[in-house]
Formats: sequence, C-alpha cells, structure tokens
Amino acid sequence: MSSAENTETLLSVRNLVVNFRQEDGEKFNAIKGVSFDIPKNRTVALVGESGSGKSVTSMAIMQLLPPNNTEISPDSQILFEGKNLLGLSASELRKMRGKDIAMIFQEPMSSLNPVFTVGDQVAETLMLHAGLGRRAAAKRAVELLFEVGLPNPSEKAKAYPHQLSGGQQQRVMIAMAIACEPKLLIADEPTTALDVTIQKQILQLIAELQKKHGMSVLFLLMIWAWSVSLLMMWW
Amino acid sequence: MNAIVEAVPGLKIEPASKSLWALGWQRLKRNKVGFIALWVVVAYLLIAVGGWLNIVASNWAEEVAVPYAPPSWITKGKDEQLPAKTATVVEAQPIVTMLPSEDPLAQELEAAQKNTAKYADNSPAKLETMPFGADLRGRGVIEKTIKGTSTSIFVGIFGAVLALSIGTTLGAVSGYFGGKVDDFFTWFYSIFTSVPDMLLLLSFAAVSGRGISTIIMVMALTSWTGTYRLVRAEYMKLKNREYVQAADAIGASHYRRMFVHILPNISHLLLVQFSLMTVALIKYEAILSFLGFGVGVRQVSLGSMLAETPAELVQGFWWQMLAVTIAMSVLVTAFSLLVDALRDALDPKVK
Amino acid sequence: MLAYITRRVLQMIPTIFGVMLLVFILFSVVGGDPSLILGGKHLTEDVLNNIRTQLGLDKSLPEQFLIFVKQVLTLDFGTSWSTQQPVSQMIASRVGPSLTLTGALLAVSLLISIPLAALVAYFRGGVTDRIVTIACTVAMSISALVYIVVGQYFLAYELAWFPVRGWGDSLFTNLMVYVPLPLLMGLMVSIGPDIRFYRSFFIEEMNNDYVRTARAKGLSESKIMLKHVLRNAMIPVVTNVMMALPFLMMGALILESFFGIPGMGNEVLLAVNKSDFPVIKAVTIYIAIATMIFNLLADLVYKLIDPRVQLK
Repeated sequence: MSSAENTETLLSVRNLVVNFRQEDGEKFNAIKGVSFDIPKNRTVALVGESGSGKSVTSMAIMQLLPPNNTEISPDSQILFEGKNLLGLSASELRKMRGKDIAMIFQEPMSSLNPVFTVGDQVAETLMLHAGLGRRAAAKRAVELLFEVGLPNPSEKAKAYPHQLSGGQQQRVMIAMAIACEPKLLIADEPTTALDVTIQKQILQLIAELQKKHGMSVLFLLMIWAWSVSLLMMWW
Repeated sequence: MNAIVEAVPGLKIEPASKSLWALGWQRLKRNKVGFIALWVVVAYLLIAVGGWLNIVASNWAEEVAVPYAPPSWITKGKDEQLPAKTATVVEAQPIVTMLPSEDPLAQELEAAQKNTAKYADNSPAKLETMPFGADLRGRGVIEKTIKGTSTSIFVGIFGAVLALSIGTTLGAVSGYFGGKVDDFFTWFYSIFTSVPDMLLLLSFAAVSGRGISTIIMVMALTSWTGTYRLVRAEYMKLKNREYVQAADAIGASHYRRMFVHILPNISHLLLVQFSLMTVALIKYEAILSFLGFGVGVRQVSLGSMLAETPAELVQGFWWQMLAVTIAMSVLVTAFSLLVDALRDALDPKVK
Repeated sequence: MLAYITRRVLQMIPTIFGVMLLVFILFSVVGGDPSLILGGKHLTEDVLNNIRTQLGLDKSLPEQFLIFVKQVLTLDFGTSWSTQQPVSQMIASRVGPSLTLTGALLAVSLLISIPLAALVAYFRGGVTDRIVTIACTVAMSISALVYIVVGQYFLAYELAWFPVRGWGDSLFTNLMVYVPLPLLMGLMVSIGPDIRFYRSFFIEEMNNDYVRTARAKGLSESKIMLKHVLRNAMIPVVTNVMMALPFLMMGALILESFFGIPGMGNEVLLAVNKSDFPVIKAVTIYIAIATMIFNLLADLVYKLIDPRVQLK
C-alpha cells in the first residue's frame, strides 16, 4: 500500500533489516529489507503467512525486540512523525509506548496480567501517561470499558482477566491501547484466537474507534481475504 | 535404497531424524560446563568401581602410620625452617628407687624382661608422614578417602536404583490402571510424604541398625515418593496416547503396554530423576553416617570420615577434613552440574 | 469454603491412620522387643515379664495397635524410656527452641534469597547469571556438615565471635547470642538452593506475554519487575514457604545437635540413639498431623493470593 496523494505520512519504514543472534553464534536474517508508509488517519494491512515476519516488524517499530540478541541494520529507518525511532533513547521510547503508539496482541488471555483486575490494568496506562490520580484513572477506565462495548463496565472493571470471555478480554486490551489517544494502533492478528462470530465485532469496534479518535491502524493479518473484507468495512 | 537414489537424479536421502538420545548427547556436548562435569563424574565412578572391586585402596584399614601423621608436603617445609635447638641439661634430682625386695612388681617385671625377646615386634616401623596425612589410628587419608568415596557412591547409586524401581513400578501401576489401585497407592504415598525426610530416615534407621545394605534399603524406602509422583503423572498422560491404543489393538497385554510401549518414552525423565536422587542420597548418607546411623563401624564412608573431624580439628589436625571436603564437594558439584545439563539436553520442549 | 475444608479434613483421616499403621509396624513389629534394652544389666525372667506387661507387649498385635490408637487420640504417649518423663511434656518443651531457631532462619533467608533471586533473574542469560548459578551449585555441594564443623571451629572456637554451643533462658538472649552462629550456618547451606529455586520462578514469569504488554504500555523495566512480575512470582514462593513450615518444627536436626539447642530435632536424635521408641513414635505422629494441616493451610493461602484458583 503506497502512501496516498495528499495525506501526511505518520509512520515511514525504510529498508528495515533485522537479524537475530542465535545460541550457536549464527545470525538469523529475519527481515530482509522492508519499506512501507502509514498515512495519518488511515488503515494499513500487512498480510503474510505465519513465520513471514509480520510480528517482528511490528515489534521492531515499538522497539520491543529483545535487546541482547537483536541487530537492526544502521541503514534502516523507522520515521514516526519525522523522528527516527531507532535513534531514540530508552526513556524517550518508553514515553511514546502506550501514548503515541499502542499495540494489541493475538492472545488476549495471556497478554493480560492474571493477578490484577482489568480496571486496574487500564487505569495503569492512564496514571502513567496522562498523569491522572488513582480515582480519576479508575473512573476514566470504566468509561473506556464502556466505549469498547463491555456490558456492565463498572462491575467488569473489578473482574480478573480469567473471568472474562476471549472477546471481552480483547476489548479490554483495546481499551488499554486507546486510553491515551495514540496516533498509531498496531493490531497483531487481534482476532485470530477468537470465535468467528466475535471476530467481526472486534474488527468493527476497531474501525469505529479509528474514525472516532482519528488514529492510524496497522493491521497484521494472515489471510488475504480478511483484508478485503476490512477494506469493505472501511470504505 | 541405493538403486532408487541412482534411478532418480537429484533425489537426496535425508538422514533419519535423530532420536531423543542422540539429539540430547549432541546438546550435552555443546554445553561446556555440563560436558566437563560428565567426565569428572565418570572419573569418580571409575575410582568407585576400583574401590568396590578392591583394586585400589584395599589396604585402607591398615594402620601404617603414626597417629595423626601430618601430610608429607607440610613436614618438608617444617624441616627446612626450624633449626634444632640444643637441649639444656638440667641437673636431675636423684629419684628414690626401691630395692627389688621392696618392689611388689619386681618378680613380674623380671619375668617380663626375660620374655621380651619372644614378643619382639617384627612389623616395620610406623611411618612418620603420609602423602595426605593419617588419621587417629594411623590409616592413610588418601586410601580412606578413595575407599570412603567409593562406599558413598555405591550407597548413593544402589539406593537410587532401588528407589527408582519402587517408585516407577508403583507409579506405573497407579497411573495406568487408575481407579481403586490408584487410590490405594496414593494413600500409601501420602503416608510417606506426611513425614519429613530426615524424620522418616531416622525412624527407619532407629529400628534397623547400621551397615551398608541397611542404609541402602532405608534410603530407598524413604526416597521413592518423588519418582512415584512423576511416573504416575506421566502414565496417566500417556496411557491414552494413540500408540498405546494401537498396541491394544494388536493385542498387547497390559504388562507389555506399560513396560514396552510407555516406559521407553519416559526414560529420559527417569535418567534425570535417577541422577538427582543419587546426589541427594550421597548427601544423606554423609549426614546419616555422621550421626552414627549409617555405615558400620568397620566400614568407611565420606560421612564416617567427617564424623571424626570435629575432634581432629580441635587438636589442630586438619588434613582429613580437607581431603573429605574436596572429594565430596567436587563430586557433588560435578554431579549437580551434570544433572542440570542433562535436564536441558533431554527436554524435548527446549528448542 | 467450609465444605472444602471439611472434605479435606475427612481426607486426612485415612492418611493419619496410615501413618499410625506405619509407625506401629516400624516400632512394634520391625523394631523388635525393647524389653531387653530396658531391662538393663540385671535381667531376669521376672524383670522381663514385668516390663512386657507394663508396656503391654504381652498382648496380641492387633490389641497393641488399638492401644496405640487410643494413645494417639488422647495425645498421651506414655513416658519416655530413657528419661521417664511424660512424652507429651517433653515434646511441648522442645517446640519453643526449635521454632526460635528455624523461624529466625526462615525469616532471614527469605529476606536475602528472594531479592537476590529477583536480581539474578533480571540479568538472566548474562555472565553474572551463569557465575551466580555455578556459585550456588558449588555452595550447595559442600556438605552441611563441613559448614558446621568448620564454622563452629573457626568462628566459635578460634575467633570466639560466637559461643560454641548452648541455649539461654529468655527469647532475647537466645536470639542475640545463641541463634546467630547456627543461623549463619543454616543460611550458608540453604541460600544456594533457594536462590536457584526462586530464580526459576522469576524467570518463568518474565517469559510470560503480560510482560510484553506491560512493556508495550511504556512501563519501565524496574516497574515491570517489581510490580507485575513480583506479584505473580510470589504465588509459587508463598506456596513453597507454606509447605516448608512443618519442617520448621522438626528443627534443623543437625544444627540443634551441634549447637546444643534443646529442640525437637535434638530430641529425636537422642531418642534414636537410645532407642527411645515412645518419643520417636510421638514426634512422628505429631509432625505428620502438622504437615497435613499445613498443607491444607497452604492450599487456602494459595486460593487467597491467586485469583485464578478455584478450590475443588
């Protein structure tokens, strides 16, 4: 998907090359030179078979790859609103994560911390990036849970992840992700682990939120046909 | 096979995928620490076998040296350092002597002196120093250490084999048949696990007395529970696997299915379990022998040697302690590192 | 909850019965006839018979077993064969010192090993991690006996920093004067395995997906470790500690014996040495019951701290 005519580019990936250092000293070339742009306010779908490197690419954008054995070529560039993410310090990156760029993952059950309530986990993002106090954050968390379509949000906020269904857990993840109004949402196969009937609901939810909050979305998908149906939903 | 390869150009024969053991061996070789540990353990095992068969250190009980003879590498130094002091002669006070007629023992002493020649001691003079010193009774520390290590390893291995056999048999039967059989053996298991290890060991030891065979039995009877739990869980998991059902379909008996089909699939777990238990039992044997409940009085083990050390240290004789500490620490360290490496190498899930 | 507890208590009964059976078989069947030991030097037929009657050994085995069961239920194990004191009294007086030592040891070792394990897990894979793991393995391999003998010799005998052995009257004296050296020895023995054990919990938790999510939210590494990972890793740690509690009452057998601490462990050793069966039997039964109760408590605590657990 190349950038459209007059829209500004939010994220620009240029010649991303990622190598992994392995146990026996061998280098594994995971990404061999990927380039793409994500315009503002648009949805981009990255489609590939499992093992093709979609997740690695998205983790590279967020700089979430294990630092010990990851090597990103110095020729690669990841430009977010003009700034090269690969050159930022750790603390600068932390400020962007969850605030400017947010990510949701494939397995919502294991991606949520089992010993904290879902309300607490959403509130944590708010307290970290939006500087809200405990009570304000908790209140806002309930509002977010309502926005993502959880029934009885004030009660559900006190629930633990394992008490919710897969679809509900993924809604919680989405709530966590959009809490601080990020400019880019990366969704790594968000519906693959869910029931077929729920999948469509989640995709529609993300579509609505994208329009409402004016953010870009990078979808990572396995099946080409889905991206077609996504396009049909968006247009 | 070769004919087919030639007939179809470009056809490559892929090597058969390696078995778990071959793969494990490869991974073990790559783990430097584990590999070294393996050879250290093998060295110890060779010494142990030598000890059992009395090829080496068979003369450990001979009291060839002076009590508490120091190691030779110490005295050499001392000789060079201390100059001989000249002794000052003090004028001795005359001792009042008794006349033979007054001495009540005079007659017996005379008889004894006449017979001295008959009782002449023809044994060679006792050694003043030994390569690593000697203990209270003049027995060489090196020989004792070798024999003691051999005994401890013997006890550890045989105890572990026995415990493994008991645990595996009971666990297999429990896991495979389930139902009332399982309930019974689980009840049995819970009895043994309600009592802390040391207490159980001591209770058994209290009624059994000392000796190598006793201690092997006692340790086996108290350590089978870990293996039982592991094997039972595995059998419960594996009995419904397809290859077992297939065996059933071809008419294999329960016994065959349990021991010919399922058992080989957990053998790597059993190896790790066996090694873990051997280390633990070597440590336990030391403690038991130290407390006086282990090997018999005429036998020597690392524990029994350690039992002599508190008294020795107070008198300033440290060589036996050093020898035992080194021998035992190196053995247990190497064994533990080997077990860690084995675990990593044989676990099919780890990469 | 109450139904669960009741069910568990009912399940304990056959096990306790089994332990009694085991103890009985060990000491009354395998252990042989103690009358010869108790008879002392001047053994006559009459003395032997007298002892047998006193101990109830002239009755049939099943009868003896019933008497034993009654003893357990009334918590009266008769008198010790060596000290002639009532066994229950002896045990009661010994629990205090054991708990003082092992309680202090548990507290100190947790305070040291958990933070160290977390630290080592944080730097996992690196050279530090491997060095610490090997150091722990070596520390574990040196027999407890060596630590104690050498420690007692150098620190108490030579340097006189601590008393060689003994026990005081007040809790304060004990903790300040008599506990430190045995505690130090106990620490040296247990710290190696503890760090390795707890480290594995931390590492397992750190590999979970929720850590990745926390990072994606922008949390700092230390916050992730101290809030998210720690809270999860505490679950197996606490369960583990709870299961180790019954062993506390046994006292650290060897430590007590070496340092002359009048605790349960020392008592058991003395009893085994003198073939004082009533004491050994009583201690075994008490500790078995305590172990089962603590296991139940451990499960209840587990339910409290892990929201996912449902007691069946």
